[in-house]
Amino acid sequence: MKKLVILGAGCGGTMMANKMRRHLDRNQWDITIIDKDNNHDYQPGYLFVPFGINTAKEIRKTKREFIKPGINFVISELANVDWDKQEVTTTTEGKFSYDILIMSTGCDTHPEEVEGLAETWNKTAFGYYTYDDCFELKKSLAQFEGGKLVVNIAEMPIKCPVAPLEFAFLVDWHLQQRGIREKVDLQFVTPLTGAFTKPIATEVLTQACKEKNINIVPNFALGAVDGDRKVIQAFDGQEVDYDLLVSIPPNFGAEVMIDSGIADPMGYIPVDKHTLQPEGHDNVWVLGDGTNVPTSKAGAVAHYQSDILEENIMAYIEGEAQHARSDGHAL
Amino acid sequence: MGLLKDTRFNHISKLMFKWAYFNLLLSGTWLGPPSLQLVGKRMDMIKK
Repeated sequence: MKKLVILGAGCGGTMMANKMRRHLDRNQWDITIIDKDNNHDYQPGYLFVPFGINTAKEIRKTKREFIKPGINFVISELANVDWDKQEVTTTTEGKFSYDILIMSTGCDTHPEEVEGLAETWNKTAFGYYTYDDCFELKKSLAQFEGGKLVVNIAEMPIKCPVAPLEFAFLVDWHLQQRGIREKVDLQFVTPLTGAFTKPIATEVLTQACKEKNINIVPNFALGAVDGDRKVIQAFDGQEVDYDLLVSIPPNFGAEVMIDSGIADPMGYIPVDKHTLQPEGHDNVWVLGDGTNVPTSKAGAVAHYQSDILEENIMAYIEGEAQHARSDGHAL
Repeated sequence: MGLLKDTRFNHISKLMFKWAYFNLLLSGTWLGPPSLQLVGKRMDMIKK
């Protein structure tokens, strides 16, 4: 029996497991997907939780309900990934050897990577990029009666790069609904040169910010947060004060990938940006937020990458040339 | 109707995507050719 092992049962890993189960003969291929827990969060829904648009029940389901029959689902933390030995080690369920490995372990936010941010987290600084954080922000936003609300991106890359602007627009709407918009100075503080990463979108979105009276502070490379003074500080000395800080902390790939010696210092796995394979390992593919590919970290990108992987992995198994190429675009 | 426009339709579409995510995307359902990702995009402007 040959073995396909998939690391990560989020959006990318689940899609790949289900696609490959459809293709591969159950008598010839064993498919195992490994993840640290059984919670499948609809991450785009985090954005709407602080405004009461999405509820906990709507955005959190179990991973198992989306994994098709005939796929082994193992719940355990990863301890090591060894591409040379073709073996994955978990903390509680032992080792798994593989013939083909698909990796989709994503990335996470790390407030502790900014001086002072972790100390003030869920006190005056809040976030919405994790399940727990978005509910904490909901409570804080409900108590906010006016002042300076700062939405700040610490650094790029981040998951769903447009989400911070969407959040700012939703805050504008939310405050209007509550009748306190005029009591709030809404600022969008970003390390980018403008509202967004792409010039055409930036032009449109800058105009939208202007119409909504959202003040953009560009080129702000966050260095530290002073929770006592309620100030964010840039490396160049620039400061922005706040009453409520909505922070998008630095994003990093899975630490176990760094420990396994297969990722860059930010935890992102270096791969060919078109084939999504690490150099020298023709039976390993990586998709989703955990790669170092210069594209948006978003489910839509993982979806199109999964189409590329599906075609190329089947070609690899059948000994044929792999023609599919990822170009990083999403919807 | 532009994707970048601030419209109720765009907002509702975003909310409706949740259904597609849980019912189509995760199951690995084929959602169209890879070229779909370029539909409506002004690639000529991007190249400039």
